[in-house]
Amino acid sequence: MTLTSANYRSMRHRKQLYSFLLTALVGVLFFAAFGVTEDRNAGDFLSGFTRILDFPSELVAESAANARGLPALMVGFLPALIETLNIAITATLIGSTVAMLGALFAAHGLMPSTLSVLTMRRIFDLLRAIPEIVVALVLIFVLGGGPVPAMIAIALHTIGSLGKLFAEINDNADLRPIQGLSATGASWFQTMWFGLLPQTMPGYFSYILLRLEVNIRASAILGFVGAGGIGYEFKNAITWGQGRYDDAAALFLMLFATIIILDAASGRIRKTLSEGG
Amino acid sequence: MYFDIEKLTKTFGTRTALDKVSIKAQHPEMIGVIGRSGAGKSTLLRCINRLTDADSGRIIVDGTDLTCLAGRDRRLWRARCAMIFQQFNLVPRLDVVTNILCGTLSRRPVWAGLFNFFSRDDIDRAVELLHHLSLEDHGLDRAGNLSGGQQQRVAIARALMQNPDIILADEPIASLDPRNAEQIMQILHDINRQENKLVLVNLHSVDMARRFCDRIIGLRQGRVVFDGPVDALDDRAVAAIYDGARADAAMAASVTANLEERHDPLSA
Ligand SMILES: Nc1ncnc2c1ncn2[C@@H]1O[C@H](COP(=O)(O)OP(=O)(O)OP(=O)(O)O)[C@@H](O)[C@H]1O
Ligand SMILES: [Mg+2]
Repeated sequence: MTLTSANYRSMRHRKQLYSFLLTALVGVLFFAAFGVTEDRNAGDFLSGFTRILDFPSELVAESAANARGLPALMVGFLPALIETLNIAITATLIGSTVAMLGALFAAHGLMPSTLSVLTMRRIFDLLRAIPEIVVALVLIFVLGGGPVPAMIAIALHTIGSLGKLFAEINDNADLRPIQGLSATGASWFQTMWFGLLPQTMPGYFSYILLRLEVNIRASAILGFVGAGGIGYEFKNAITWGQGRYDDAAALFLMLFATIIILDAASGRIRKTLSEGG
Repeated sequence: MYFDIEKLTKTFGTRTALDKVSIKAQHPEMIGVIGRSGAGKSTLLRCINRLTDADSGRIIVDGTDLTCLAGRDRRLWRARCAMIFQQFNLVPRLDVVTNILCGTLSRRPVWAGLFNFFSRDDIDRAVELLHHLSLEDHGLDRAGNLSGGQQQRVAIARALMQNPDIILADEPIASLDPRNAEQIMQILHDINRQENKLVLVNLHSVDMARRFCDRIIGLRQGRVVFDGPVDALDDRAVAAIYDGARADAAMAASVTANLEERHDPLSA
């Protein structure tokens, strides 16, 4: 397994950061909604502060009262969840495919020229440096709302981050099989396909799974800024405020359940992969 | 005519790996290349296969100069001179049959490889080679899980799958135990005798070279210092090749030095 612990940890940090961001965004929206409803007659800051707890308790109380209704609500929101997942999955597929191709040009040892290595790595850096939300906002402004801008934004970021990780995996690949195939007269592409990918695929795959989780969170967050999906519904439910708190709770639970299931599944797949290798 | 090497020269920085090497090979002989570690044996084979580009000199085959080939022509030439490595250079995660089938890649379109598609004839031939090299119980094993001797036999099967005219073997037995070494040399010898293929083999063991080869080329510091039939390789000649040192001592030294392997950048 060529997954290095440092890479793995930075990936995990990213995942945690997204979880945090999502929670923070939800929190901000909660209070924004709170601010809207109480706008006119809002008291001073301190008295508002004591109401912080009123809000979640209202939410919990309201959704607890409607607990029986939650499953039905969840079924109703299923299309939105599927849209969020679709955005994430498509972006991950496109992003990782491009990253895989790009990373072939970014690894020392696979390429005779260092120029391609340096150029490719800078491109990855650039793609990684711009946050998805910025790209998404620009694209939404240009293309209008909907899933496509979010998908492109997430895919671009995925290329940047996976490309770098894949290139590192490629750097560590054993060159002997590659040289062996090259000596048989196989073309460059065949050499990579048969000599490199069998070595690096398990490593790629576990990064892709990790990235998928990250992208589902990103996709949910982008929903808040108009990309559709569960994030959009969530924003609506919360800005609506009282009366739709059960919606918010249902959406919350769905998102968490999805992420927990994915976490468990990908953990298991990664384990099988590393044992198989 | 197999090949006619004329004044082949290769330097790495200030070190001269090959110094105006000229070798003619006109018959399907079994040629052993001997010399101390660093004498240029590997570089010679790699230049012939075009894994390494020579600085000057020519390698003429059927009237064309190989050192000028590029792209598809170079790949077709590589397919004609199969290379066998000390470290086997198989793809450890692929099964044995797929590794053998990799010998056909040069004549397969790229899309066929993408879908892991090989022709029926090729698969038949691969399985035949599997039996021929007593690997029939290991067809579906991962190549990386086999013993050294078995891996080298898979590498030979892959080489034969290329249906080459020439087999270049770079210290094929240096990481094998004596019994396996013996077996691999015997297989190479049979290929030479039964299939009329030219075998050019780098060896550390003068004894093995004497037993299996028809012709010996001695390299010293990149220069050919001996080229003749195996009978002409007397102790004086050996001493000259190994720089006057006692032959077996030099051999032992070069074997140890060789265990530390080098990775060369690809020129694919
Ligand atoms: N890629 C390379 N970069 C720099 N120097 C190299 C490279 N390959 C070979 N050399 C040098 O060229 C010379 C000949 O090397 P070569 O590998 O051909 O020797 P050899 O006879 O095969 O030795 P050994 O018995 O150790 O395998 C040595 O001095 C070696 O250090
Ligand atoms: Mg060598």
